[in-house]
Amino acid sequence: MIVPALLQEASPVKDGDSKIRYTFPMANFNAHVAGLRALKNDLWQLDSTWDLGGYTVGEFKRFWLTLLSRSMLHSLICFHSGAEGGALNSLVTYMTRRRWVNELGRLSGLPTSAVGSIIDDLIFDISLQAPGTGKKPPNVTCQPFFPLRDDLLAVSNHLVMLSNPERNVWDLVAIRKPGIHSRLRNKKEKLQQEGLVPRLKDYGLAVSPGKEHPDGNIDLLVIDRTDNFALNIELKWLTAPDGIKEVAYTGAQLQRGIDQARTVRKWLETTPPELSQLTGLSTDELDKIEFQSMVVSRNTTGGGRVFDPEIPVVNERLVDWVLGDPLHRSLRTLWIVGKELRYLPKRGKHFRESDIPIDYEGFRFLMINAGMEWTGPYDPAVDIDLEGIEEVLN
Amino acid sequence: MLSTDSAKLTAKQLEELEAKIDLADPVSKLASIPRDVALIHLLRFYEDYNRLWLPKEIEAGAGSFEVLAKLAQDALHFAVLWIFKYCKPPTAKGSYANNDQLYLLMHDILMQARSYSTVWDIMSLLRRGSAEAVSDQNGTIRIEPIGLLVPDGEVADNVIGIPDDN
Repeated sequence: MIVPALLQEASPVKDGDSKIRYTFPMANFNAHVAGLRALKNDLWQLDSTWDLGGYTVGEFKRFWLTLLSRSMLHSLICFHSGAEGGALNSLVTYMTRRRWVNELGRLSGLPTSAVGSIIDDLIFDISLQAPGTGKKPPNVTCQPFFPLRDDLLAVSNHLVMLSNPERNVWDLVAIRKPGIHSRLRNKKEKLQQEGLVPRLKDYGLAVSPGKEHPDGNIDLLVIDRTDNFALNIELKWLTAPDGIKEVAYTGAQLQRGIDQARTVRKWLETTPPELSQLTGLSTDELDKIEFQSMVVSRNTTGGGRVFDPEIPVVNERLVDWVLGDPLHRSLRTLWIVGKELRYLPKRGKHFRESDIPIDYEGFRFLMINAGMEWTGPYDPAVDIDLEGIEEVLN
Repeated sequence: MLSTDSAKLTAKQLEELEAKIDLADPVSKLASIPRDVALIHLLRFYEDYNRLWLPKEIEAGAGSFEVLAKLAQDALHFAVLWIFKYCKPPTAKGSYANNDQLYLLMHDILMQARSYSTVWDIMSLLRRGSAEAVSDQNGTIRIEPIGLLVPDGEVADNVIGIPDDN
């Protein structure tokens, strides 16, 4: 366990009322950063070379792991220091911007220019919270450096410890640097495409690259030659919604994906000459193929606010479950599972709902069916309903 | 006045309700405190909430770690906004040493903000037409979701979504 060794090395001593001072233990610190890097790796999906405006994704990641380690260790050292009140007066670190830059630069090994740019983006900015700007105000988790007075900045350990940094910085760049965000959003879809194509090929499917089309681009055209079935796939990589506004935004973006997929499907149904070029198949071969459309979202399926009976919205996990482990079924089955919502969890078996009362300053609200409790595990091997779906076998 | 009959609230009644909710903002509690002093005390209480109070709430069955930690984060968001809106500007040499009275006040502010953030979510749903409000005879306002195209779609996202921290 790192805590005893950490405390021994840090040797915190009382320094006044509920205060401590200690030297940051570098050896344990670096070990802690390395451990966190492995533990939190799943949260980082963007390309580390992308420029976020003054620093790269990779530099931000290194900065954040440093800040996260510092916050965790500082919180632990305060708690276990033996000082009155868990060293309450030392618990929230505040120092000048310059000292933050120097300390986090030293601990991370990053250039101070990059550290300064990152910190400047992470300082809580009340002007971004003003209503009527047309921009989504960031949650405080996005900007955990709080300006006190003059140049003093205070950092909340737990805000740092409990946040999803990549997702937050992505939101923040969208708000503060829309030009950069717009460029990176296109790269993000390309990244999603690069991740998905090899998997689809592994599942035995023919995948044609994207194509620009006057009415809407084709992101991916996937063909199951055994079944003469093809899907035009519209890709979406959105931030998983974390609030009411985000649910509405995500729903609107997925609906746009459905509309675009519908336009492309109509074009495909006319068997245009470009299709032969795109797929390498003859017109005769293409005539035998049924073309349908689907939206593949990286994470969310729209939270129930988006639905089209012909153009399903599925996420990548569902794609892998149906085409790969554990089900190993066809592309057509995936489309049917999506459009007929055969993946939905079942009330009673998987979850139950309850009403939630909310009391606020003399008002009483009752949110109907807003509480959800899991009642049993969801197993895609048995809980995705495949009954009656016929498969064309090789 | 809101109707005491069991009836769907109109747009005008919702506006009145929202105005009444805003009147409950902790203006008088914060107005005499410098913003920087309030902020440092709020952040300290938030740390203590997470390391001391939250585990006890979980033990008492108030909810899971994920749910309670997210509620506290949302509460901190609104508490910070209140501090920026209602506190007086920072002073040149305000003391940042812990003050028990302010610590307890920040407990009240964070807990009020926790309830407010849920009420804010409710009002957002109503404004967007994603739910409707019906006031019953006891004055309780029932919030029912409307316009869901896939009734269990949100639950499905929780099940099949890629794991994601906040």
